[in-house]
Order: sequence, then C-alpha cells, then structure tokens
Amino acid sequence: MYNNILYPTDGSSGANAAFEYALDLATNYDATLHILFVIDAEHIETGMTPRKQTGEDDRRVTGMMKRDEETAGAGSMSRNEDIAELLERRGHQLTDEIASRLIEEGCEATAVVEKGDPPRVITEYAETNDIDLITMGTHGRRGIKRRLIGSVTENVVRTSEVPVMTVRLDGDASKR
Amino acid sequence: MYDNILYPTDGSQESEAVLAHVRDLAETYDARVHILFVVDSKHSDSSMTLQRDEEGKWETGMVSRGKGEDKGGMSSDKVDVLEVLKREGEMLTQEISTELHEEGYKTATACKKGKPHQVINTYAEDNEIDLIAMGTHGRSGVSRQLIGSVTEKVIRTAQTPVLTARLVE
Repeated sequence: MYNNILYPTDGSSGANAAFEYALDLATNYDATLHILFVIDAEHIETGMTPRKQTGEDDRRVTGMMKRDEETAGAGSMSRNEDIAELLERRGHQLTDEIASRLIEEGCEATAVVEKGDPPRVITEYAETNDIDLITMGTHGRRGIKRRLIGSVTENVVRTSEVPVMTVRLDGDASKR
Repeated sequence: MYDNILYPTDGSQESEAVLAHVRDLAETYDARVHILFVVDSKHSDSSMTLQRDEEGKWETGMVSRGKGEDKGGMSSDKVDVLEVLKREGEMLTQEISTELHEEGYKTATACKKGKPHQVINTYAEDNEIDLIAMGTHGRSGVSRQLIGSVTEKVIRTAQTPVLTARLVE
C-alpha cells in the first residue's frame, strides 16, 4: 500500500512531530522515505533580512533554522542570492542528516531540496514520484500564529490527491 | 504503533475512499477498527425532509453507502430526525463492521449524537484510539476545493495523527 512515503520538513519542531510516524510506517511497509525541504520562494522574493548572530563574527542567519553551525556566504552577493543560498545549504544539511540516519538504520531514504511555493511543491512532488502517503505536522514555521492549522498543511490536505497523515506537535487538550 | 484505528463515517463516497487505507493499516498493525457514525445534533432544528421507505419507515436519504441521494419529500414535523438518523447510522456502521469482520478484522461500532468533531475526539480519547482516518470532507463539505469543516476541526484538535484521503476520480 505504501511504497513511497513523503516527509516534508522545514526543520521545525512541528514538522519533527510527524517524523516518528513517517519512520514507523516506512519500516512497517518497507517503504522509501522521501525527505523534502522546500525553499519557500516567498522568503526569497519578499527580501527577508538575514542578520548577524549576536556575539559571533560574520555569521548571517535567517533565524529560521535551528541548526546554525555553518557560517553563511560572503557579503559580496546580492541579498536575495544570499538568502536563497543560505536556505539551500540549510535544506541540504537538514535532509541529508535525516536521510543518512535512516540509511544507517537500514531504511531506504532520499533527500530532496526544492524551491517554490511549499504546498504546491509538496503536492507536485508527491504526484510525480509515486508517493502513496504524505506525513506532516499540522504546523511548520509558516502560520503558527495566524492560523489554527498551518497554512502549508491545510493547503496540502485540501489539494493533495495523495492521502495525508497530519500529526500535531503534542496532543494537548488544553489547546482545544 | 496502532492498536485502535477510528474510522468516522457518514457513508459518503469520500468516507468510503478512506476504507481501503483503514483496512490496510489495520491488517499491518493488527489493529481494531472502530466504526463511528455521528448523528449531527444540528440536524434536530434543520428543515430536513424525510420520506417513508418501502416498509413505511421514515428515512432521510442521507445515510447510505456510495452516492447519497437527497430523497426528501415530507416535512419532518412529526418525526424525530435524530432518531431516524441514529437508526440509519446504526445500520451503516453494522453493515461495515460485518463486512470487515468477515474479512477477519477486529471491529467495534458506535453511533453517537453531538457535534461531529467533539464526538470524534471524545470517542478517540475514551477508546485509546491511535489514529483517526477520515475523508477530506463528508456530506457537509461544500465545494471540492474546500476541506470539510468536520475534518478540519478534527485535524486541528485531535491528539492522535489524522489520516485524510480524498476520492480520486
């Protein structure tokens, strides 16, 4: 039933919540797990400002990714290229890290980084790569304050022809 | 990971589309399938119309598997719509349960009145449900492009993962 499972992640804890479920299904169904990071085109076009990390030299971070171990590129590039490159490197770092961990555990995994509008990229990737199930958190980085369910997840549930399993960060009854 | 899978259904085609996933997951994880029909309490004050079936019983025409037909005809003035829905829901869940049981699945059925998403969540909590599987929208979904309000509320509030599938034509 599930030969290819898609796990879109933006590295947020909301996305991480879905990981154990994706992994469990992949293990039980002997499926390939596709780890997809989408570089949100909106972030590049709207000129998000990278800032220097406090107390450290020449480190530019977007503030969006948790693991900030590498320094960002040189300052001679235009701002937009700078951000795109930064996000791309972070995306590869994140997906490669997850994929190699899975491969070590004996799972089949693919790391993918794509650019565009996240829900559209996710659903298109699913349709063109024979994905049987998308497993994702109800909230990623986008829209946690604005909406009750993340806009990316809502969009994917609404438009995907592929079934979607949504996972909440923590089953917290008080949020009801 | 999954010992108890909740399958809320209103008998719509979208709900039916999810059943294949429920079957497969229940088999893989040796889980019990809980088939739940919610008698939506909002129907008590709606002007839903009913008609009598061949045996002279009132029916809503809303609860049958596959394509729903709004049969309508008589005013609901003198019949309790919720009772009729409850009877139809019991028949529906029983029918699905029997089918699954014959295929070797462990099943449970329930038919409860209330606000659908609340009933679904309460049932999930009371019955150690590990996964809820439902259609992107049931009968109350307005347009194809929209996600059903019940499904949206369940995704937002459920403590368990929620698997949604749509009918691909």
